[in-house]
Amino acid sequence: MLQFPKLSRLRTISQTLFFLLFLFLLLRTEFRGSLTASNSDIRLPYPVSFFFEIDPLVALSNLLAGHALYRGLLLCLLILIPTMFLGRFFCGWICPFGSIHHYFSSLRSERKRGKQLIESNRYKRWQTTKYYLLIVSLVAAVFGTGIVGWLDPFSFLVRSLGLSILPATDYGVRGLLGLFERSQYAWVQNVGSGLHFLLGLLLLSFKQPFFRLGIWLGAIFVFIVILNLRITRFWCRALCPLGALLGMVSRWSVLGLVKNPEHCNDCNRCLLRCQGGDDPVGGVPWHQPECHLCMNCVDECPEHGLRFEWFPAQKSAGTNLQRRKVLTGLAAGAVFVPLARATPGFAAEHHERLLRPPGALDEGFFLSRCIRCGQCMKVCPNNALHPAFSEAGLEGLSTPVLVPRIGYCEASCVLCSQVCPTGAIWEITAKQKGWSVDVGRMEKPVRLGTAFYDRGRCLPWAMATDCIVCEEWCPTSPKAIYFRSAEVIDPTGNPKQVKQPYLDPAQCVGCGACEYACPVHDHPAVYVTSIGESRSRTNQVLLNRRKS
Amino acid sequence: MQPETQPVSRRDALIKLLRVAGAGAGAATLGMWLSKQSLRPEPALAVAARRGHAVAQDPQRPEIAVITGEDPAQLARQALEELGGIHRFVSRGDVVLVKPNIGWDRTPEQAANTNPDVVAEVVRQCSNAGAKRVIVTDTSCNDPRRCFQRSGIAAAAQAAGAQVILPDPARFKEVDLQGEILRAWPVLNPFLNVDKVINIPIAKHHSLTGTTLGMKNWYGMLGGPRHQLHQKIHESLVDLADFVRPTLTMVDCYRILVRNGPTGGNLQDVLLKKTMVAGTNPVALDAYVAKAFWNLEVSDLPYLTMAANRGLGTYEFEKVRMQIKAL
Amino acid sequence: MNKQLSIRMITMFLSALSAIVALQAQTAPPKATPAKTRSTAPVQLASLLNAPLPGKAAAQGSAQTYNPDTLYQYIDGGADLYLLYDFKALLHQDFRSGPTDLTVDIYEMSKPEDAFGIYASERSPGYKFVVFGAEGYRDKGILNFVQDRYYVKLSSSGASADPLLDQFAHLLSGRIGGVRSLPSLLGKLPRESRVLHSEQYVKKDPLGHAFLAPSYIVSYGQGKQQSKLVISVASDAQSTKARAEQLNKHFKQSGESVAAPELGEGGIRAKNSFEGRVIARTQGRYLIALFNPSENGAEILKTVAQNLP
Repeated sequence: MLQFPKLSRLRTISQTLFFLLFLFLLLRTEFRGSLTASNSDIRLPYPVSFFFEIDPLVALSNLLAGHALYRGLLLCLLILIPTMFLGRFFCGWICPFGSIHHYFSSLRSERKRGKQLIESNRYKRWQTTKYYLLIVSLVAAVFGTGIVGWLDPFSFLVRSLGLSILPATDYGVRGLLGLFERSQYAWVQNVGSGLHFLLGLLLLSFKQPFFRLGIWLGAIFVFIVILNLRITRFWCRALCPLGALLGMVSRWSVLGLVKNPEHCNDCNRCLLRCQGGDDPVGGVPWHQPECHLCMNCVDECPEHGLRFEWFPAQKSAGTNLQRRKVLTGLAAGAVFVPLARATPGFAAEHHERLLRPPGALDEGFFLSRCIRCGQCMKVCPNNALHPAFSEAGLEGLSTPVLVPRIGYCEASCVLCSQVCPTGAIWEITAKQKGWSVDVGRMEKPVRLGTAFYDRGRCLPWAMATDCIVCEEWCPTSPKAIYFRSAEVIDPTGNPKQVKQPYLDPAQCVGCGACEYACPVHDHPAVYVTSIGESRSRTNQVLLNRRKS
Repeated sequence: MQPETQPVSRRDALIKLLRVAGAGAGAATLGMWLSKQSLRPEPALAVAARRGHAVAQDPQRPEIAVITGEDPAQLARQALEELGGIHRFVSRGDVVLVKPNIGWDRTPEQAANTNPDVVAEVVRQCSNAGAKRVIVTDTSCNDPRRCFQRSGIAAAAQAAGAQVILPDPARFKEVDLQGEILRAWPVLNPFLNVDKVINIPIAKHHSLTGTTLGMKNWYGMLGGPRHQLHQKIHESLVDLADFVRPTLTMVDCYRILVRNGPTGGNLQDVLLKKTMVAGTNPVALDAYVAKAFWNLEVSDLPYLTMAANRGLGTYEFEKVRMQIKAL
Repeated sequence: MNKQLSIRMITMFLSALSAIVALQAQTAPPKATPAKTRSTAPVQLASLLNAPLPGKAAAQGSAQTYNPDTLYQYIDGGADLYLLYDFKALLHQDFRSGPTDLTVDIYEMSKPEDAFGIYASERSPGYKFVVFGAEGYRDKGILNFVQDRYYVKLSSSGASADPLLDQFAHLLSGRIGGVRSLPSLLGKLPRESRVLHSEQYVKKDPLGHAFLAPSYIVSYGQGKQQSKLVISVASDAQSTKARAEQLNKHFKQSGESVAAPELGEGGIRAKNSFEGRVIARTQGRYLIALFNPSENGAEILKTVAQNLP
């Protein structure tokens, strides 16, 4: 007779599967190239934004900011509606970030032992903090900023793993493989090559990515995860705004924990591995909005005194928010946007190096939609996009900015616009981008900025030496970089003919290939600034552009 | 409570002393040895590599074949025939490297990369001649994954049975090119251990050199800061050509990029010439194609004279045995 | 921690360390290379058609040569133009190769410029140009090219005429050798908007002005906007000054002409009703004039002046 497995065992399997799915999709947020397909229209084969699309918090923020639901965000109903019926099953059974916290919480820790552990798993008042954070984020979203993305669990996880942990893993693994491959013994080299091939298929990126702020993102991630050694699932209980949202929405749930006081002998075993901090213990009300439905308490109770029932007879405790704190949250959310935008960076003194990805909306719309998730940065084949630190002000922290010195924008690539879950980078086709597909037929290509020459560093201008690599790389037709032959005097005093580059701002699309290719790579002689970007009506220098 | 006292016997004391002395002696020896090893850390030396993959001259055969016709694969096939057949170049068991131009993220119609049908045909021919392995690779300028896919070359070569290798930063080896100005440079590994090398560039405009043809295609072998080569581009091209000395060069002139090269993009910059210019004299080939489609003289392309002086060929293509055929 | 564990950890650490050190290694050596040069030799006109010839072509009758006095016997009134370009000798021969007939005419002129001049006077920008010699073109059954001081005219009829023409052209080009490029002065003129294959070397009355001879004339632009760049070559700077004076006088008489020092040495701006506008200047022994100049005409004059020796 097959016994029905314990619910907590089922839950573990579910967590594992969803975590692996998440990891798989994250690793596949990268164009790997196909050796068999030759179609010029490149799309990612996997639905890598899936977890964002089912995230009700992202959907709600997008809705408040844009008054509509972008593309696949309707899928959030897949989570939202069942939560209304069942409670926070998402946190316990699906959320990959939650699974990470769950795992680290289960590690043996000095501070979480015996009586301390039991005490730490009681419901705590500070668990209401996440509701206030949720209110701040949502109010801020109403006022037009997507800072909810800083704390949204998927955004946080993709940002941390994609931009910091995975690149670090890449680096470490490649370093180790390098040891093997540099050996003088052929068999060791072969082992190394084999491992490299295998890991290349499963784990490694095509090329080593480097991301700005990587160490900070990694440190913050590690810190948040290590907190679990002190308090089980600290993030989920105290910080996660998605958890707060799901908690609030589950107040009408028809599934609830029922405690049988006759069977309870106050052993507190139910608290040992309680994930949500919802007080499954006898003698106190159960906090329904905190429970993750992990089923540990039900399986732990030696007296079988706990059961989840449909239409439970016992009433659970609500969220119990303090009115004062709610008002503070509302005020904070309301005040954030004006405070942030009255500081130069948004309306005044727009940072010259704030180059946004192709397809990005005008800055106001962009900041309201961008959830700072880092997917665009992960998918960019040239490692060109990086989280902003100061270029977009405090509000723009972690939004994507193009850094041509690290990578330029590939002419026919529109992958970032394909993976953006909220439409901050509105989806465009390569044709609409107009840099390489159907060139000459597209009247208005997307422009990211304009290139400028620093003649004091440029080889033909300053050092009487031939170069024009920038002109060679310029992808537009006709090229935005043209040259004129000039006679210069070289250091020995002899006259010499060199070709000196000039920029035609009417043609330049600001892709950054010139800056990337410039041999004076420590501080390139040609550089791109944001002026001339097509998404902004005001950030322009030319009155009108000649027809090409 | 009193700590336990246990008097130490003389034997024990001696043993203890010897142990400590031994450890001390060991530490001292190790220290002195480590001190002797102290050398200023230098990056690894560049290795020497095989130079030259040319086959013997055949006075019965033309050195250049110019074929015009409709089908690119047929052009390649006919060119090989005129030059003596693939068996003259590829022997049974050879490892052959076919080097097309896969530098840019463009489609075949934009004429920035070699025609995929030409590459596939050459791969097929090499396999038919009994080659053990045919490798197709290039160090792209744009993202290699996009270049290999959108140029159509990866799919075509793969289907024809080639081993398509994407340039991976780990696959570069520091090689001493032994040139006049190019010494130690990172070279893509597959180039270093092959029996035959077939160069299949596409003819394009280039602002610095006027055109980019056969000899410029060797850029694709290098990694590292190759944008520096533009400072002495003619000398660099000759050094590279001298290092490789290919078995065969086939300049794809089916579609040529006449303006805004080498990246191109606008279809109006592409001319359909339906020609293949192939041969064993790389200098004459470059001189001929430059003259034929861009009307450039030898004096406009200093690297031709330099290459001729190094014994890589002759730029006087009018003196070279040429076979011109229209299909 | 217990002793077992600590010993195990130390051993693991040490073995990992030694593995890392053991897996490192490399090698290296160096070397050198050689060099070579080119060649030239004068050519006998008659020897250009010696055997072996492509397509096993067999001579039909013997070769005929013409000199400046006898040229009219072959091409009648057309001889005058050749004589103007300092014609020296013509080698004419007919061949047959299978079903194909071929006629070869090789004109030897005094200097490469002369050969180019006569070649350019007979060619039109609309022909299909081929890669033989300094420049060449083909039309139905004919292939003409110029190389060094020779102007080669081939004509053929019958089956596989074109391949035979190609083979002969290639062979003759190889045998002629010498300078296989257009007159160097043409290379120094701007390429932008140049009408391809419009270059001329005119030895008599360039654009109707006898004093400008000899001149290189190149067309730029299209249609109504087409301008002509004229480089009049004199023996020395003095003669050039004289020519510039004559140009000035001509325009003063027929229209107007003002000095334009901003154009450079000896600069003038002139116009009249039948020739339109012209800007000109001198540079050493060259007089540079641009008829019907475009808006950046002054730029062009300056660039050309800079490039000329």
